[in-house]
Amino acid sequence: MSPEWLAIGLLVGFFALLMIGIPVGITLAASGFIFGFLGFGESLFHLLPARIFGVVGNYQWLAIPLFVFMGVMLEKSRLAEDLLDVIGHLAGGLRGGMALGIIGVGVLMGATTGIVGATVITLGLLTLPTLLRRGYDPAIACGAICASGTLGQIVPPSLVLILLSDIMQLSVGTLFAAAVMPSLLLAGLYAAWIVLMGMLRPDSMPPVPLQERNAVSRRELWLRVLKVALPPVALVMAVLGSIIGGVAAPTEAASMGALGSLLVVALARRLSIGILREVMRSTTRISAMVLFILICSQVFSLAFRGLQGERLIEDLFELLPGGINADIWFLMALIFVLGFFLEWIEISYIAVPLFLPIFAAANVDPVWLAMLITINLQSSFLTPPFGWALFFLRGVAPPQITTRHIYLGVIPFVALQLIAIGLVFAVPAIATWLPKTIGW
Amino acid sequence: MASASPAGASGAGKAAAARRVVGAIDKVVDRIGRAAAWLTLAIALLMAVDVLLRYGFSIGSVWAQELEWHLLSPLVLLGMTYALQKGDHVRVDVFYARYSPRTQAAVDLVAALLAIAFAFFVVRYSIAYVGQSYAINEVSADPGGLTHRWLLKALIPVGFALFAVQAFAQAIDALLRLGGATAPQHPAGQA
Amino acid sequence: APALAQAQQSFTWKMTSAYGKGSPFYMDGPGSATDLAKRIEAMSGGRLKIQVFGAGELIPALEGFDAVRAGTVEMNHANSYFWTGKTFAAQYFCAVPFGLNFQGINGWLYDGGGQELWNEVYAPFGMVAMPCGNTGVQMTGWFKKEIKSVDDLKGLKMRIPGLAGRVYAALGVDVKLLPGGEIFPALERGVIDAAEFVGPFLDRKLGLQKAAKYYYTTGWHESATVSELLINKAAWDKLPKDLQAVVSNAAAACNVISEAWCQRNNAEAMDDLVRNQGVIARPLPDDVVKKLREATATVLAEAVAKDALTKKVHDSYMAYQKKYAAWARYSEGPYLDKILDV
Ligand code: NA
Ligand code: NA
Repeated sequence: MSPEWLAIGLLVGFFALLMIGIPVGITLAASGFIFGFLGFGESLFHLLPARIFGVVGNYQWLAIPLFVFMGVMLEKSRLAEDLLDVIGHLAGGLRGGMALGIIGVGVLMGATTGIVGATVITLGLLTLPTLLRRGYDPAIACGAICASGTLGQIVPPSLVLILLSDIMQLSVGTLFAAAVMPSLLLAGLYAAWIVLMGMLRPDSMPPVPLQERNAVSRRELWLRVLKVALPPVALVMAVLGSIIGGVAAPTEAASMGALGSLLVVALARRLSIGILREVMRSTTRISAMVLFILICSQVFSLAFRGLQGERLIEDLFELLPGGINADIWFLMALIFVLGFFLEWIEISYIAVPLFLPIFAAANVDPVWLAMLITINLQSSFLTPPFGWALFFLRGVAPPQITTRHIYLGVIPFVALQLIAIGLVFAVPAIATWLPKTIGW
Repeated sequence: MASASPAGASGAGKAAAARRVVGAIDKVVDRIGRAAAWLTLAIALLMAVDVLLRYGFSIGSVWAQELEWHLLSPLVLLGMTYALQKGDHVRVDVFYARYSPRTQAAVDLVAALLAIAFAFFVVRYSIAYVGQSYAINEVSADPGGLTHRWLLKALIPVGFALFAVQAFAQAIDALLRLGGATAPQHPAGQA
Repeated sequence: APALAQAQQSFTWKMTSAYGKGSPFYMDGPGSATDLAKRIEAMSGGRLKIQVFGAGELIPALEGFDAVRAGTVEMNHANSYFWTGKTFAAQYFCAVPFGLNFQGINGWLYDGGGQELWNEVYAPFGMVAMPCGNTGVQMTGWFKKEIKSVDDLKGLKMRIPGLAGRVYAALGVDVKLLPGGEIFPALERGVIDAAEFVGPFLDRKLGLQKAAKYYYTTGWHESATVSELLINKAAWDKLPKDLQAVVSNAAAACNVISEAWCQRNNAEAMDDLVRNQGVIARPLPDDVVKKLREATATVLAEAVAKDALTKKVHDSYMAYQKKYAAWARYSEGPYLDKILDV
């Protein structure tokens, strides 16, 4: 069989194993090995240890256990439980008030890290149980959490932007500045959708019942805000503040969150050795689950390379009609589809460089292009069946949440992503205005 | 049916023995996982102290910065087996959730066998990789960095060997479920 | 005839790089890794094809040494000072603080015994290497505050990898390791006070001029950083002589051409930085340079004492540098001081 057919087989085999119900990581590794062996034998797989070492020795992935630690600590100590309740009370009769709160927290958390797994998991741990208890539709809750959690990869600082700045030879600062408005645009679209849903399907996101709200006086409510909402928010601010204040580099700032959560919980007199043990064990299991998928995807990526999967893409590209807009939309479609199979680092390495010379020759603004790619990559985290965010949320969601809830929940948000891409495409200034204005 | 025959009686004895093996492996992996969990606290404190010392007193050391990511390796490579034991590795359960217990056991068996094969190949390829590092006594390329890099790299085959052992236990467990009517020992559904 | 069959045998090799796809100078443009591959294919009439892989495509950035050593890929394009954790002597084939400039290092490598020593150092690993690119002189780096004396270095938080980091540390600098992408945000926010990267063109791409205004010039630590073409020896020995000649001549061409590219682009970028972007470019004060030179000597002496092979390479390098410096006092020195200016 030709490599190209085996590359197609690799993708089909991956889907088949995944749908049967083999765990995601094992699916990636098994389909990679099977079709790799058929195509090129063992040769390239000798590079596997180097790639695994590259994952487990990657300084930037340290943010995952650190943020998960913070999230689990706040959850296990029950400090987080009341946070959303308070937001719900503050939102009054507005339907979807807590969901709006999640989007806000997503933007704030996104500004503290660029690691998608970290934000989705933290948000999931902190907010999903409360939303369910408050009678939110599970699908809507999951969709809001996944979408808000993945905002972290476009809200600066962000690993995606850092990698793209490398591949596209742009200044990191320029891309960080360019990403601000599109991030806010996305958050705005999410919020608008939630408000709209609150009107169309009021039962899907009930406000805190009137009686319950009336039972709490204004004064009491503000006291509760101070008492329960302040610590977690202060924590996020501490992480963000340590980056802005020049105390810590982005990855290091996550440690401020982990240490801070220890202190906050200790101050609330809820820290015990039992809780600490539970937090450490959960953190280990969740972090290992996330990074294990990344390790397994190394096998898949090597096989994809070895079977010249990129040639499949080049062949498709040959079929394309001329015109730079056709090229841009092809790139967008390609990234979107590759998001089913490959993780974003690999997509960035395979798809983006293929097109750069063409776009450079046509004088396409690289900053604008980078933003289109970034929003698109974020969509790929959300696309069923293989969106990283979906699996991460699945890993920390309570048992009553099914994969179906998560899939159904993200679909409208994927549509919102596409709208955002369309808007940035039509109005490039959304991406290019801020960097030009502040001279970055 | 099988339990009616004498062969079935010895089969039941074998099943009990197999369960003991599974139990023993579970116990060891659990201990290792609990020990590895302390690494999360170690990473958080080490990094936080490093940040605060540097900010407050301009004190920093290359080895401490390197130790931070050196600790990530054992956390992940030992933790992944712990996660496997606890059924944390996520799957698409759109169809899986609706399978009969026997079908679920069959899928779990396939998954466990694939996991063993995967771990086997990682161990196979990584031994030479670790050997290269050991042979030249590789150290960090950064001044004042850590030595004995082969130890860090050796965590790859060690971690995956442990992973294979746990997957083996889960294969036995799935086989037992496939053959008999015992309740699943691992919370496969949430996996 | 068998000889004819041999001559027409063709090869497809893989070459990995320590730099990402699209990186100017390293992966893209005249004298880069992709240019090298193109030249080799053209000169060999297509008999030697090189597939080029950027960092992360096949293996992470700094795994090329092990991959070539194992023979899984035939070639790697990087800088030999990345391998000092594997064999310290590799430092000398890339850049030594207070070492040789572009002319000098080429003199040592091509004509002063450097190339032979390079292969000797890599012989135990089953590899050969050759120069295939050069950045020319790099810059000391970006500082948020002016450096007036050695005291200003004490407690200074600086991103500086490699041997130069050890030298700075000896003068009290707090050495910070940071991945490339975090340099800008960390410097901009003041997590670090200073950062070293490459030279005006590539530094400007990173946007470092927006984070720090003082650009200390002429890199005492990297006066001509050599790019290394690392080749698996077994694969190399299988190449017919004519294809070996194609590879070494293409590498030598890229060595010169890449440096030429740097000269033009750095000249243009430096002019822009100083003229349009408010960058203050100046050399380090004399006493700071003096202290750095002394610390370098101590650090190198320690390394030499630990390893006989490093001593052999060090002695050869230093002997060459001594001869070259004496001659340059008559030639390049007066030329730069008295003749060059227009
Ligand atoms: Na972010
Ligand atoms: Na440099």
